[in-house]
Order: sequence, then structure tokens, then C-alpha cells
Amino acid sequence: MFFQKIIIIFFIFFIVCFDSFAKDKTDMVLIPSGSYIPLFKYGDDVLDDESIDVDSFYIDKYPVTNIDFYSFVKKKPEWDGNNFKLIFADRNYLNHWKNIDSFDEINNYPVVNVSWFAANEYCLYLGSRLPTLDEWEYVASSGKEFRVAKDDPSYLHNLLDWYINSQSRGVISIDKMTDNYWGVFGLHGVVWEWVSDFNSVILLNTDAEGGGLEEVLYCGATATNAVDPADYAAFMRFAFRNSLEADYTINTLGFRCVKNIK
Amino acid sequence: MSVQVNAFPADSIYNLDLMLLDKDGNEKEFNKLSGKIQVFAMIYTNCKTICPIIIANMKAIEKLIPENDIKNVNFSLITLDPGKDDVKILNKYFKNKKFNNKIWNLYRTTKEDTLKVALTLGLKYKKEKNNEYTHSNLIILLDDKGVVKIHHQGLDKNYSKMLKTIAEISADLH
Repeated sequence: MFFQKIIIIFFIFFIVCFDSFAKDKTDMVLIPSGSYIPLFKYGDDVLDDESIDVDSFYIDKYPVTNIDFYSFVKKKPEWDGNNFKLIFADRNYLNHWKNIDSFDEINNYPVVNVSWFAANEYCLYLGSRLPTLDEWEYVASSGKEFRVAKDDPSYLHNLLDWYINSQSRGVISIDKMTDNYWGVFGLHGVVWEWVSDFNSVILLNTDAEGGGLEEVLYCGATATNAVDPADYAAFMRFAFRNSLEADYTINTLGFRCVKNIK
Repeated sequence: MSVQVNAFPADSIYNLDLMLLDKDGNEKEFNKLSGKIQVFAMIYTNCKTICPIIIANMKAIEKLIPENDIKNVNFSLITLDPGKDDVKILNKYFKNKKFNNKIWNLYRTTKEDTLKVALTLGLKYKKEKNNEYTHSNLIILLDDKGVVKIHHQGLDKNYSKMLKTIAEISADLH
């Protein structure tokens, strides 16, 4: 009887340990709830309401890598480079997997040339999801030492350097990436990343009755209406997202997943 | 390997696997919109300015399609605001707009699938803080297999290309 209890307790202990190990392996970081100030105001009447509240969530420490995505494709052959449907990804999908000598070389590089649909399916397959634009921007609004990057001019300067000087941009291995305040690696300086609602960035051809985002963005370009003109990098991200379609695959565009708390 | 069940072209939006709920509360698989030419738009019922113009223009297109072709054409709307636009509201809206029940329908789906449909068609939208939506104003022409043929600017009253394409697809369906 006593030994049975010991065994049961040991067993429970083992499960708990194993469980925490499993959580570790998912390599996600808890982001507490908070708010951030996006680049653009959403109309003139919301001066005291510029910040966006974001609930807490888990986010992948690293972008999804080639080896991660390869495991997914093995389980979901409809997302194989030969089987995918053109409506869900353009012809360039996973193009960098062709003509490589060894997959080993790119195992730990962020996967690129993936469409929104492919990225979305990958995250859902793991019980997670793509981050919303606000979630991504909220995490990315932090610098290295500071919760809010704009309190750290040198950080912003380096960031701008990367965004402007495309030559310094390149896909690198995740173990060469630097992290930010939250311990999230490679948000800047490596590849662009998909967000679930990238199509909420609207520059042209819109019904502007819902708050005049179109006008705000146009004016934003002149920086007169921007909440924080110093945050030019964020403007570039908005402009980039505006140019995307969900089937696009680009060799500098990857993604990471997030998970709800619970 | 699973057997290929549906035979839609690789660039057909009917490769999307999702369910619609129509304005009468009936469930319908999205790919069951196939077989007809679809004049399609995404709107929401609380939309006061642009959506009514899109709809008026879709009605204008309806009137211009010859008797012989109209039997091959459906007019379908999916709400951008599934949170608010329940079946009851959709039904009321449908009646208010006096849509022809035989060829028009109004649908809702989940929030996630609303986004997927919009992304597949290249539609942009954003929920604003005042609960209104900023959105692309496009009327989309789909052939009977769900391949996008035309992105028509919703406010553009020149329908000649739209009508010509409908006539061409319809001729193949006769």
C-alpha cells in the first residue's frame, strides 16, 4: 500500500516533469498583456485613444524553421511542394528547397517562400495560430533593454539601418539571431513575418467610412499624422503588408506562431 | 494518400473547405456555390454608404444580363461581420433590399473562414474601433468552377467587361 502510494506519487511527479519539459520544448515565451502605440492614428477624434490593448499570449521564441516546416509537410502532404493548390500559394512556394545539396545546411534557418495559407495551416496543425498584426507589433515594439524601443535611440537607429540597407538583410540561422526585451529572437533584421490579419492594412480602393484609414495612411506617409514619426521601420512593415496577397511566397518572408493562454 | 474528391481547378476558391449559413439558416458547403457564375461581394448590414452602392451596382448588373443567361448566374454576398450579422439580421436585410430570392443569397460563416474567403479573393478589411469596417469595395466575378475572372471596382458603373465575360462563360454552360 505504502509502496503503491510512493509509486503513484513518483509517477505523478514524473508526469509533471515530463509535462514541463514538453512545454519547454515548444519554445514559446509568455507575453503579458499591455498596450502599444501603432504608427498611425485611427482618425482625428481619438487623440487620447491611440494605444492598442493586447491580451497576454504565448509567442514562438524563434521563427518557424525549415526543419519544423519539413516535419509539417511530411504529415500534411497536401502542403508538399508538389501537391499544394495554386489558390493557396504561388509557384514559388518552397522554392528554396529545390536545388540544395543538403537540407542540413538550412535546417535551422527560418522557413521562407511560404504563403499565408501554408503558415496559417502550420500553426493550426500545432494547436496555435498566426499572431494578429497588433500582437506582432506589440512584441516587436520592444527594444533589447527597454520594454518600449523608442526609449532606446541606438536600438531604433540599428533597426532603421537594417530596414533601409537591404544589403545587410539576409536569412540567418536561428542560433545567430538576437533577442529582444521579451527574449523573442529574430523579430527584426532577419525576415519579414506573416500576421493573420495582414489584409487589414489598406492603402487603396477602400470604403473609408469606417474611420478613414486610407486617408490616415496616406497622410501618415508624410509623417504629419503619424503617432511616432521616429518609428519609420513600422511604416515600412505596414507598407510591405499592404503589398501582400495571401498566396504570395517571398524569399524574405517567414512566420512564427502564437498560442492563447489557457 | 487521400483520393482527390473535388475536381475544382487548382486556382478555384472552392478548394476552400468551409461551411456557409444562408439567410434562412440553412447550412451550405462553400463549394456548392459552384455550377453557377457568381457575382460576389463581401459587405456587412450595418454599412451605411459604400455597401448600398455595391449592392445597387450588382442589381444594375442583374438587370443587364439577358434572360437567356441569367439562369446561369447567382448573386452571393457574405457578411464581413459575422459577430453581428446573425441569420435573423441577414434575413431582414435581404427582405429590405428586395433581392430576387431565386438568384440572390446572403451568407455568414465563422470569423476565421470569413478571413479565408476574403484573403482568397484578395479583399482587404479592418474592423475599426467604432465597430465599422474599412474594406475593399469590389464586386468579384467567379466562373462556374470558382475561378476569379474579374475584380470589378464596386463603384465603377461601367459594366461592359463584366457583362461580356458573363455572356462568354454562360455560352459555354448552355
